[in-house]
Amino acid sequence: MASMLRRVPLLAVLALALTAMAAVAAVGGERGSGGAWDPPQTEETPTPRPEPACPDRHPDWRAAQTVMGVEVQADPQCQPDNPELVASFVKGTNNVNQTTLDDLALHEEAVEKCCDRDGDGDPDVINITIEALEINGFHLESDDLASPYHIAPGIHPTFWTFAPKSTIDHAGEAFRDIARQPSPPMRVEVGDEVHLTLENTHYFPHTVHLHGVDHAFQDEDGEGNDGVPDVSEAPIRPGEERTYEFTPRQAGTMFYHCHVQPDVHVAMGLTGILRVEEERDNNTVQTFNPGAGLVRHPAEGVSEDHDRQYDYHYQNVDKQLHEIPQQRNDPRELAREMHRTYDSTERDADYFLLNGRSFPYTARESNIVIDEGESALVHMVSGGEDTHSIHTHGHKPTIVAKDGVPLEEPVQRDVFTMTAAQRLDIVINATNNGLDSYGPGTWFMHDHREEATTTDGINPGGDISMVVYEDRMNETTAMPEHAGSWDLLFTDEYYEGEIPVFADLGMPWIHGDVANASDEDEDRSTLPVATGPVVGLSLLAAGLAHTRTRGGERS
Amino acid sequence: MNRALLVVGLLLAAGLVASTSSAKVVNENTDDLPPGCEEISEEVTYTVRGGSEPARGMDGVAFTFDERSFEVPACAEVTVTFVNTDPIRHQFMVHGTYPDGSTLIELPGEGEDTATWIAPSTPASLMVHCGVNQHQQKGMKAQFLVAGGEGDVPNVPGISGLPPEDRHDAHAHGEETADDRPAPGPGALLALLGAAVAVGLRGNA
Repeated sequence: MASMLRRVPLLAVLALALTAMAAVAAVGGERGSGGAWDPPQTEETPTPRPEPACPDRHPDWRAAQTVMGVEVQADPQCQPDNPELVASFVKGTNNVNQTTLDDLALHEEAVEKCCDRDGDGDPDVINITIEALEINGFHLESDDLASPYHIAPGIHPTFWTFAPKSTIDHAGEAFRDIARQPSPPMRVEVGDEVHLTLENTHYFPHTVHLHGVDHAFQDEDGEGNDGVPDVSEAPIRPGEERTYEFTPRQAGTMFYHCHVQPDVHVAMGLTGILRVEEERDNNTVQTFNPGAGLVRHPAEGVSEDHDRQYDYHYQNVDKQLHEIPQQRNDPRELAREMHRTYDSTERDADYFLLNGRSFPYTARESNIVIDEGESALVHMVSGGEDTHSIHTHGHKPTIVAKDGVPLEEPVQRDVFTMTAAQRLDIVINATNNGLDSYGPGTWFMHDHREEATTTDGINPGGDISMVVYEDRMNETTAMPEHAGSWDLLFTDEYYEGEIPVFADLGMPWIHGDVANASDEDEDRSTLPVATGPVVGLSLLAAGLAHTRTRGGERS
Repeated sequence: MNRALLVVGLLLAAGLVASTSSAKVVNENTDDLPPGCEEISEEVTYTVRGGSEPARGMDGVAFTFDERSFEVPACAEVTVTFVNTDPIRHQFMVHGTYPDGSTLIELPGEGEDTATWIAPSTPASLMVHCGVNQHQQKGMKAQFLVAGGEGDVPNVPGISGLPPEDRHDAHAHGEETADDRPAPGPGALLALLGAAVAVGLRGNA
């Protein structure tokens, strides 16, 4: 006993001494020999070659207009929805001519509307057909991705999406407007007889679960209608279809998603807002709102009290999962890698999306544009697994409904907590009274879990958007007025971490990169490798010495 | 009156639900001879089934055509009847046809349609695929070998094989995998070993 007490401190002292020696050596190494103040030079900052902040594809899409007899609201942002697409989703694709459908890459079965049963001036039987599609998937003949869809400069993970039934699109542009993220918000009216058909064009089985939407467990034929595989029904296999039926009795902001292997399928993007609008006369709703954002043909019940209606769909993306379909092609390997090897309990999000994009791309299409004195109704969902803390600068909006149920006592907040699959309806009131609004501006709106304002750890990115007062929307650039420059942000290199984040402030001597920084890093990283053997061997030697001593004592 | 409207409405709804939409044929060519062809050399016809059903039991294939290699003479008039076995959208799209560059049959669901085109005058291997996202990648690919062709079109199931394994690496986009991560250096291992011995000795004492 006495000998043990003696030995333990001896070992501890030995180890401590060695560690201290290693630490001294490390500090000395970093300062360099001689200790002179001779820092390395600053590397020249690469000149960014940014892509255009606004590609300016269709400036004519921005104005308020009447298309095919359908009123389409103005959207002054860079990339508004195509007014013809909006009008087709209002009229019904069965009421649009074939040439227009071909231009939009839409199949006539996407949204079929008919039958004003109650004589109130709008159709009451709605047939919706969606396809399950992979975007940014494997490409056999080249390293290019099939149907590239970028969430931020240079970033294009694979997603699965529910998209309105489409048709051949030789130009490829129109298809990208409908096959994107998130799965599109859908709108129906209370009392509509809705037939929602999923045609499974994907290589894995899928279903549709109508989350929060009033639906029977089985349809009239006794077929499962709840979308839960092996509980209400069998999943829809590749090449098969199923029609879900519902006639909603309650209005509100609901949700729809695939319920097959949901820890992966929800994460891959098979989720969307399903908004049941209140019943009104002449209320022909915009059945799909591609890419979410502004509803350019708002519902009648919303227009009574608000000037604009927005859908806001938040998602989180673990790139480890979303890159598997770009690395493998065999469906068996994909099933193994995505559903068994990938462990969703170890999920760690890298990308944070709002309406299918990360900042700065969100600034092209997902701001809340508002005029002083106006009111905007925003339907929000956390479509992934994150709990969000959404904060609005310059405003304290009012939460008027949660999970599709109106709040008896609406609450005014500047942070909204929204957990997975939760929906919030918030009203942004642009009345400059120091409470609802502090006045006009380009006001930041973002998740206050700060990691969500990054793109794979590079800030600013993630789910940032802005509340932009109309007079601060620049008509020439179609982007919000802002201080400083966003040039760095519209480069692949910035999000690859190759450009110092303060590079545009003009102080490279303190914010730039240290010349040959990578060599220095390597020198430093060898330190623990060198320290390890010293400590280890010393402990080993000490241990062996003691063993010999003890052996001697025993014999 | 209202009841009459309701009946009409229901009938319309029933008709709407039961309606099937038409297929789409793009860039058919029955008479415009490709350069070097003085006349149609031969008329050939094929019926091809495509979808998930022909892929049943094929390892690693989700969708395919029941025939995936066709040999036709130069300047032949080729007529294909494409049968979609699924209630979902499929295409039979031939690339490299004259004069528009491709000829397409698209079927929105179960059914069939026919298209005609004229083979070129010189040997060529024309690629056929379904352009619905990932269908080509998951097996829906075929080839027309005109006048013997110029070798097999790559990645046609059962004809030219699936992509080689090394393509998997080519498609990795910067994600750090377990293999890429730096392994713990020998120093760390030795430190662990030393610590283990020290702890072991303490326990023995």
